[in-house]
Amino acid sequence: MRPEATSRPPARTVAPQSGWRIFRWPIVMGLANAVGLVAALIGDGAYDLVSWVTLGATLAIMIAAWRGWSAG
Amino acid sequence: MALSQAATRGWYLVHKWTSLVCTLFLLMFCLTGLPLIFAHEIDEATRAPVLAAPPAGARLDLDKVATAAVAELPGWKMLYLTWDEDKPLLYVTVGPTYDASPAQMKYQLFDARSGTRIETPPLDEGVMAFILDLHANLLLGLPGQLFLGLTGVVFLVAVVSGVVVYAPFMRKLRFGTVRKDRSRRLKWLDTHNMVGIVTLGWVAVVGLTGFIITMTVPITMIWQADQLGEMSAPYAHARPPERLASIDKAVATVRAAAPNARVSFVAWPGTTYSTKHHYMVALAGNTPLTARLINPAMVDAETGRLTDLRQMPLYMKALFLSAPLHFGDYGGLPLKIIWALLDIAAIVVLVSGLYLWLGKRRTPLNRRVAELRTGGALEPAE
Repeated sequence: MRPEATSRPPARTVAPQSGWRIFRWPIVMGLANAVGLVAALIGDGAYDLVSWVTLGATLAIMIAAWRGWSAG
Repeated sequence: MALSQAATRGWYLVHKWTSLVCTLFLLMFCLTGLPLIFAHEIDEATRAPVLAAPPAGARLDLDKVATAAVAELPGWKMLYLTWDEDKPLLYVTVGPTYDASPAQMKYQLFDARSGTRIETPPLDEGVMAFILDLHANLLLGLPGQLFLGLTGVVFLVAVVSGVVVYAPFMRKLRFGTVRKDRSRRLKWLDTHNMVGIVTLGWVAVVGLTGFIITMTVPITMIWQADQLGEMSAPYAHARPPERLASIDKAVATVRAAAPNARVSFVAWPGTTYSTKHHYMVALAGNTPLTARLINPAMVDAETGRLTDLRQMPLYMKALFLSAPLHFGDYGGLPLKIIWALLDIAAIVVLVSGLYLWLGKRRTPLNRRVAELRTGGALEPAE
């Protein structure tokens, strides 16, 4: 089976990417999550705020992606 | 580092089978976990004990509390005394023997200012207690807990293999792509991949800490053999104390030795958290981190002298820190709400994965692997 046998390439596809390019955003998000998970453990107040912002951003990115930011 | 066709196929099969093995358990975890995130709020709303102002001059005498707790239960033993973190409440755990199993124990509440008993419905009964039992051990006690630990290991393999097959799928796709205009299957496939990779960090932490919590009993047994064994070595030839020293004085002694720490709980001699010859007074700090990392202060149960105050070893610290990172109860209500939404996102990953498997079960493996390697450009035939 040849992978390039696609009849109508959609606009959203890009040239084949390296592993780094595939995983750079997941890595950034994983690091942000790690910061958020640890921050609320260290202290209260501002530390809690950091965890709400970083983990909340995960939810925001998920919803934005599902609603189709990459459609254009 | 592109994956070969054979490697993609292998990892795909690992992901499929490990996921199938644990999906139902994970759905159970996610569904029961949702109300458990808010257990404290639900308890507050439904069964919070009424705390009357204590009479003027009232003083807490822990020895009287300990006596009152077993007064109506002849032969029963005091096991643990636990201070509530927020309110002036004392939770008292009693059991028929010092090595009673959790199912045999009874729980009572006392006012931590006056030492008077507070009548409440039993803490280990009710809907929330049932949900917690289901979540933690399938209502099967320790064997159920260890079994769920095993499904946790399978789940971690499913997560890793899912990340591996994410790479060939996304080779020509932008991060976050969800194609909704092609086919229903592709929409679900993209959603599964996108939500899965975005929630990866949180899911890995909650999964790993959940696994560590299922290992509570074995980890605690290591601590007993290692540290408690060392602390009771000087008593190798001594008989267990016949009359216990005052617990009120024992706690006061520890407080004087560690004035900045908060007494979290006391374990009686012969229980899981102490030796046969000591009261163990658990000390905690004041930040969300140190509040979980208790340090044991050992008080000779016959003489009332403080014999040892040390830190917990790393493996016990890991166990204690797993609780907040699993429950999400350490950053106020907003963090709990985020925890619940991420839990729902995890349910989306599980259900979409199940849908993808059910939808094309008779499709040859080749075509499924092709679907993966082309980022969904080649779909299994309808």
